[in-house]
Amino acid sequence: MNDPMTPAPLAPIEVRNVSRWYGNVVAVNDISFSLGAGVTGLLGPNGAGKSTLLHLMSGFLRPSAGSVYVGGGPAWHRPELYRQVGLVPEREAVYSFLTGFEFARFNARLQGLPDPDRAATRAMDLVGLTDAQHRQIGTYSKGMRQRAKVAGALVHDPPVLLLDEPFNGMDPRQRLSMMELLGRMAGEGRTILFSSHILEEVERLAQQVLVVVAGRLAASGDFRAIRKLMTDRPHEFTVRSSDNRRLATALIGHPAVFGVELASGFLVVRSSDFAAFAGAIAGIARAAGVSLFELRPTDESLDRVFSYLVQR
Amino acid sequence: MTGQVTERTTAPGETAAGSIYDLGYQHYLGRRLGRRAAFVALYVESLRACFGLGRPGRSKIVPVGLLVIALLPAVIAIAVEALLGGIAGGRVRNPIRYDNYFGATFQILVLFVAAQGPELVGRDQRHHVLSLYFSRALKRLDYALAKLAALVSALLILLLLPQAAIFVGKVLGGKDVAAAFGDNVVLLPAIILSSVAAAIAMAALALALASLTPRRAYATAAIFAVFYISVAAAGIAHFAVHGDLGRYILLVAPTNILEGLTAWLFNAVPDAPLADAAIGGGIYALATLVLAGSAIAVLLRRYARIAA
Amino acid sequence: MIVEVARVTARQLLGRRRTLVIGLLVVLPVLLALVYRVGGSENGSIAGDREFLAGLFDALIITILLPLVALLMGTAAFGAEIEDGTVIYLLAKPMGRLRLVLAKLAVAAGLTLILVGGSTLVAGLIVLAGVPDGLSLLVGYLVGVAAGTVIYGAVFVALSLVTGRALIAGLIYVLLWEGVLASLFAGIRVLSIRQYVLGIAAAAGVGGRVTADTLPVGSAIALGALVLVGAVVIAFRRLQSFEVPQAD
Repeated sequence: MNDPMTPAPLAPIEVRNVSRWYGNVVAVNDISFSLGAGVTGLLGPNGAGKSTLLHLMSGFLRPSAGSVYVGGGPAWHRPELYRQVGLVPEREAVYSFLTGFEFARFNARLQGLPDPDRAATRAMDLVGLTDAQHRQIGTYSKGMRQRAKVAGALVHDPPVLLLDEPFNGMDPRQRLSMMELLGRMAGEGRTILFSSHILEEVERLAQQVLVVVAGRLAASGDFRAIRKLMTDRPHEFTVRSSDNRRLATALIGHPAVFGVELASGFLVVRSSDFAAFAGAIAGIARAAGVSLFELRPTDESLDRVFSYLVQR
Repeated sequence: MTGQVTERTTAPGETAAGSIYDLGYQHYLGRRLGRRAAFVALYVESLRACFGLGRPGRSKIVPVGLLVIALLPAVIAIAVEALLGGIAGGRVRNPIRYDNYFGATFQILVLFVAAQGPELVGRDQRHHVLSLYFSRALKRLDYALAKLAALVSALLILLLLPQAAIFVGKVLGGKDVAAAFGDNVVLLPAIILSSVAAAIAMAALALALASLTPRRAYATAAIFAVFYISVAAAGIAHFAVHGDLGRYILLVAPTNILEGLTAWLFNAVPDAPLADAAIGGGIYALATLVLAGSAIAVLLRRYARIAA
Repeated sequence: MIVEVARVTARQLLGRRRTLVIGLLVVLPVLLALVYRVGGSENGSIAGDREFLAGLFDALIITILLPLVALLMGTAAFGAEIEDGTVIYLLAKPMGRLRLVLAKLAVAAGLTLILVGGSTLVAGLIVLAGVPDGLSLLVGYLVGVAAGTVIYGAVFVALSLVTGRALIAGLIYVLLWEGVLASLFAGIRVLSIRQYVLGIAAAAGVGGRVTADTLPVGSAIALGALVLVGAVVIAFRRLQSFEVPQAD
């Protein structure tokens, strides 16, 4: 039992009942979560408040209500925060007259590192820009510029990394290498949070997701687990069998099934109780004398989870 | 594939696997108004922009405010005329007259061009829309001239409206309207000429400077700097150098040129230090032409070569 | 850390166009000084020399050049970075905000001093060559200019952190407040940086132009210091509470 006098040790990122409004517009509405090591994806449609949240966590916005703790202390009004945090902002602008190496070194020097040159070289290596590091950033492709920004954020080896739409404008190959980099960082025990509105990216990289819709936290955790929690929405399955029509007739009799649709060559079955249905279908098929060829849940993609959450 | 097809365009290379459908986009085949209409349209739109019309209220504050301030001395002059003209029988000379009008109000004009000049030419540069303009019937020089014409017109409004007010005041304020009318109407050519010269010179100079940068704040600062620093420097140089050069060096400042020109057109004596420089009227006229001409040249060259 | 900030700031402030334009401006007093020297045959009396330099100093350098250059440098110190968003790289560092303000101010004021002060020095040397105790007169002017660079610099840096339209606001201050209004209402002298600078210059130079209007040096220094500290504090507080603008 936690002694109320000594607060529990803070997670690397701890957000408690945070709200942020601009006049009448509420950008972030009473959001709480806490993050530890690993990669978390901050997911939401455009305008949902992802950037606002990231700015709140990086000390660039003051919470209108609630508190934000990052790296062991409040995020607002605390420059010390930036020893713990590396920030990769969304906006493109970066000192284009500096070379990649100089930019990393500039960040290293501002961080007060004892050996800025070595830190910069290391950072360039990490992001894979060693070959291009002595070219001006103005000559980089978009993906390379993003990587230069990441290098700048990693130069002081921070335990927390915040990235705002890091995959914006990257082609699939650049995206893969960035994902691989972030995955590696997470494996080293860092806490990484990145925002995106592209489900594919989040699905592939993030171990946990935070779904933000219209300023509110709609869901958090593993997205498959989230899906299972959405009990008021039926699960959907695709079934192929030797006699679909006969199977359909048999299935509709079961209480766990409340919708069956005949498509050409397969059945779409809607069930309110995932567990019950999965357990029952084998028996139903055998009783009806039908052989099952394929059983697949169709809506367990982040896509479906997300669109459901957005529409709620 | 059962799409609605109204008309099949036979695209070369059309195969069974794919074809291109006519979605009804139609090429405009009607009458096009051409270059002149484009020029006039840009002129009108720029003139409206000079006074903030068609933009949010914020943009109207400065130009309209300056217009009001410009009218103020004229209104006061009328009031003074009405009172003093009647009481003192015309023996007291109105401090605000046509001939010194420019000297009294040029600060307002400088403020106006410094504020609105960059508005006219800075925005389009900043948002990279010049290519949109130049891909139309409008030529590059047309664009520059239309903007210039608009700013000149705006300045003319700022100059002529108050002077018209003074005119009306003098004519109707006197006891003998017909005689007053006769007295004042002979001054009309001078009024118009001096205003036109001032408007063109100042607008051209301001626009030439403003066209050099998309950043409006810097352009404003530059315009201020040129107008004010030139006067200060000219004054100092005038004091420092003796002889003819010392007299003519005052012509380095545009405001001096225009003040001298205005005084000459009204056959009056300009304020010091121009008065004791005693530069001939024709020289002022020449200087005005040079000033306006070179400014317009810079402006046109800028737009002839700007990357769009 | 501070050195790096200073270095990058200097690099940004000395960008090609800006330096060119400012360079043209500060060459002007030197040109005029040369014109004076070479120009008239009646020039060369000691009183005339001092009179000329005083005129040059008052009408051109203090009234226009110093505030203008300080304005351009001061507003650009943070201005460009805030505008394009790269200020975030500067702020996402464990560096004290006060240090950051002071570093930027030092660079802006320093560059202004080099440019305007340098111009004053050269022009002064040209005009006052051979004038006894002309040097102490010049020193007075330079001290005034130095004070001006710091005070104006601080005010304009603070302004750039308070409003997005810092350049225009600064221009309005210099032209309207210090120019027009101050000549109309004498009481405004107390709130005019130009007057502080003139007061300090008058006191620092031997035989400087002390008129009935000049602020006594004590007041000038006190008020100037007050404005300076106030501006720095304002800049520091604003930077501390810097928030990214609402994106729409």
